[in-house]
Amino acid sequence: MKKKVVSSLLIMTMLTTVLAGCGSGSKDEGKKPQADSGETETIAIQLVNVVPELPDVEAVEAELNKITEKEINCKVDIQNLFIGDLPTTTSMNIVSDEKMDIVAVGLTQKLADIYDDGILMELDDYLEYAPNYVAAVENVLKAGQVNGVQYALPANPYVANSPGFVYNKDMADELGITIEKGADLDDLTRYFEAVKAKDVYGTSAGTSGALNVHMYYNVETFGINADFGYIADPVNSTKVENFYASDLFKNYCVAAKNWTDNDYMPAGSLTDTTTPQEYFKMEKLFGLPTGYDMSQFATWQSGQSFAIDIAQLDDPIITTASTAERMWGIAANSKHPEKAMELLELIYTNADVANLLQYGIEGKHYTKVEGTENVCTAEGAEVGPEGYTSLFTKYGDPTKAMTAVPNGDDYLEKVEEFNKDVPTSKSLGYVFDVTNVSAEAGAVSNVIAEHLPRLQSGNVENVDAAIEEFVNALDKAGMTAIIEENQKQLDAYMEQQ
Amino acid sequence: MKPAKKKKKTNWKHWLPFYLMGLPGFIYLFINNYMPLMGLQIAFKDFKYNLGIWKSPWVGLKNFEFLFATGDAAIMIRNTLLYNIVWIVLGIVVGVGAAILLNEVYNAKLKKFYQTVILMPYLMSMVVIAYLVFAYLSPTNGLVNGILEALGKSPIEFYAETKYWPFILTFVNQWKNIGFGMILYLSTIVGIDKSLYEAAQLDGASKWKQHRFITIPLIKPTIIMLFIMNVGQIFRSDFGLFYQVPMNQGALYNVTQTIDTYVYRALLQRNDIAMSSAASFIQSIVGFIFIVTANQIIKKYDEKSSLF
Repeated sequence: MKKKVVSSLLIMTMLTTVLAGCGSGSKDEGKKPQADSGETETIAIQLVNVVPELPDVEAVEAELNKITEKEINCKVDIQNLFIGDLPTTTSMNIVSDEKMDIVAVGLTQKLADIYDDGILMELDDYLEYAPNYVAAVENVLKAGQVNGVQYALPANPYVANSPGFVYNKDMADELGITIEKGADLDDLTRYFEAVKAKDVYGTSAGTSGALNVHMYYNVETFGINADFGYIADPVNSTKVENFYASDLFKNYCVAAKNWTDNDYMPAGSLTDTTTPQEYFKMEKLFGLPTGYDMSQFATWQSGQSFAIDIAQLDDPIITTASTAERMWGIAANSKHPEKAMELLELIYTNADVANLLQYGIEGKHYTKVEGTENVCTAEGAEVGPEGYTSLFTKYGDPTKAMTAVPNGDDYLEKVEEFNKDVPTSKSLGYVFDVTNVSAEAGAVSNVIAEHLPRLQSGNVENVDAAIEEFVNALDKAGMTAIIEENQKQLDAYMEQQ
Repeated sequence: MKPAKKKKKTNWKHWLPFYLMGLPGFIYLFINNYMPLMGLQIAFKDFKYNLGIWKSPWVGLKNFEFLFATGDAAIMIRNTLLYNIVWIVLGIVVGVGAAILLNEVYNAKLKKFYQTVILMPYLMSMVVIAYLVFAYLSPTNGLVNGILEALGKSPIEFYAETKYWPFILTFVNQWKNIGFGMILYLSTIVGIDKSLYEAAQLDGASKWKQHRFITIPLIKPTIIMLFIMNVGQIFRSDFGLFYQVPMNQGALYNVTQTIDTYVYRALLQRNDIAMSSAASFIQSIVGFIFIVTANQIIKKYDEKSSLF
């Protein structure tokens, strides 16, 4: 009798533990779409950072709602995401139908790779709800289109970009170096030689998993590492070629080998897990290649203990790549796309809304620099960026919203000046559909992952032989087929323009 | 006189509590292992997030093409199969050897100590192990190169030379995984009747003969069981071992590229769930074929030892 009691108690305990585990799994509170007649809807918008949690998001939302409820009768729900989680969170939210409206496009995945996965809503029918915003980005609107369908809107029209080199200005001043505008690889070699005297590396290619050499030149690349080809002179030509067979790439590899042999670049960088950015911060590196536009100065200066400067290596142009890095899209499962577009319009036209989203609450997260109208800084703030910040997402019109140190009040003019009369790539808006050459694309990705790091970091015995081996392997993997397909699709696209 | 008829009715009252106790496990098994099987159809579809698994369009075998289309594919399949075959055999030899040796240790405390130490790497993450290996083989600060330089020899660029890596990977794999097999074999060896060994010793058998004729035949069922289970993984590889330990160096791809790393690198920028599902599907199918075949072969030789 005792045994039966004990065994039935045991069974009960086991069953209850199982059931307790599957209790509160559902996080969806079942937000049903509001009735469209005059009810205040809540629009979600993504905020992308390096921290997964920000304590003051609700405070900022409350401030935002004061304006948005009055202007367009909607509330704002800021969804803070860690940039590493961005792609999976966005796609999984579609599958599980979690609330999403405005999503950041282009930060981690190219539009070309996600447009037919059913993540983004087609925007053509909703453009009328954001007339001023759409008109403002008209000249680069195509970058968010695929096959004539609008999937995303560029964040702002000031997307001119040129290759640049960010460097430690304090170190340069000490050594009497000035990096002129338009410096080339030979000039950089001279500077690195001078820097060697301070026992500091000129630059580093890091683990070199990704192609960084395009930061030295104004080219249009297809695929993250030019997997699908590149266009050498995008403003004047639409010829697609193999980047790795080009003189551009070869010249860079020769320079890289020269730098590594002379110890201007660290030899063990391929297996070193500390990033070049961290070495730069620790003042162990003189400089790094980067894109050059007006917003980069604030991005690079923040958090550094020394002054930085960025040398402009070439004239700016507008390419699909430079535009497509920051775009706004609407999630395919959004219940209120019209209201979401109205919110995007409000963000672009109303500087207060943009400033709240970008910088937080004045006094709490930032203070205005004395003597300026539009420059903010983290100094003197109650909580500062730990409470609220927006690292990767940029909201609003840069010529109306505030800017951060080290920029000054003239930032707004600088942006307009930098973007004035900048030539645009001929193939702006063209997106390559890789479906027909999927197998070759996979093989090419592997070949690039195998050969690029050593060449780009200068860790090869003989550059010519290594490049030849690389290009042969690419041809075997099907690069020619990919480039032909790309050219075919591009020609068809240009016909339709 | 009527012969007593044996009632073959199942005594439900007796067995019900045990079935109920097993119920949570069954439910978990069903939810975790059987319900997701319907996701296999993703491998044959062009998956769209907004349409989900059921409504995405069918594309037949298109997602499988990228695995077989190129010369690289032959290399990765060769690497995967060769490494796995060698490691299955090696795993049995070293595992059984370690178990037998450990069983011979008299001191109980030392026995426990060795057991823990041998099992510990199995519980470590491969990322940690990758850094341990890096500490030895690093071109700048590595222990091995430090010793070589102290002896006056030139340092070896381990992460740029392919010829060392089959051995390095084999060593790391065995070091990490031997504990698990050894524990299983040891538990079987412990159950062998000691009087058999005594009888053998009285008959004048040496230690080696004792193990060859008593121990190994008696742990054969365990060996075969582990063998069949490992054979089912023959098309899979430990991603951490082949990606992390060689520090993802392109120079070593020729000897460290396996199916898992190839698929990862091929699809990294593509966000294509269907293609990676197709790769996983192939691995499972091949593993299934191997298990069934191995089981049939073993059935022919030793009916009792087969798994099913």
